[in-house]
Amino acid sequence: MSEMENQPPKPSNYLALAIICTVCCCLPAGIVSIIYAARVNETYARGDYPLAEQYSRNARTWGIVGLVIGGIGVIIYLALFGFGIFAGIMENARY
Amino acid sequence: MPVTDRRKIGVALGGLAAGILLLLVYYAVDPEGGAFPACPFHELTGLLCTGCGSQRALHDLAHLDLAGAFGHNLLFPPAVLLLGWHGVERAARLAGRRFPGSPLDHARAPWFVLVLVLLFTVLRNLPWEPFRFLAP
Repeated sequence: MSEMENQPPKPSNYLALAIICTVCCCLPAGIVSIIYAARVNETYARGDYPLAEQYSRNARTWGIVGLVIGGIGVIIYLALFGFGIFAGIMENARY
Repeated sequence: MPVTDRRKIGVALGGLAAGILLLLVYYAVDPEGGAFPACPFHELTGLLCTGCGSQRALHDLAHLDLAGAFGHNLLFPPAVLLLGWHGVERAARLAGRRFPGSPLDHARAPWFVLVLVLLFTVLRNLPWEPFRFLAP
């Protein structure tokens, strides 16, 4: 752990993941992830590297949670409506 | 090659493949037609969230209709541009090349994004005239 005392490389703040998450309509998790991204930058600038690492992991976790919720939502939604879409395509194809 | 680099490349390739797949799907399907599922959150609450209109905006972008994309979601084209820049910068860094630094790496970038997203989300839900153009 002696590496922690020197300046380690800045942990990723996963801001890109947070933005993807927000745009994909998983808004709450995306916002949480963005806030953790900001905290990564702040704690790292302050020199609190272990805390920055912690926030970095939180940012990633929330980003992934948002994507998974969004993904599951899409799958459920497609399962519910997919049959209708398929029927619609078939209907169109007939004429 | 270190394990972390290999993982990064895996994630990057996966993301790229997903992006291309999405682009192809939304090139072929027009979400406006009603054949495509709308957002369940919007169906339930009638509210517009941040990403509302991004399906239609992606369809517009796939057809190179910039005005349509901005009209459906003002933040979507800049977001795509930023994420693309960010991705290229990271890829260049992995390959040991130089590329202009990604704006997402700026120290204040997260707060800027947060304020922009919250402001945009609130304003586009206001029913009065100057804000109506923010709705999809």
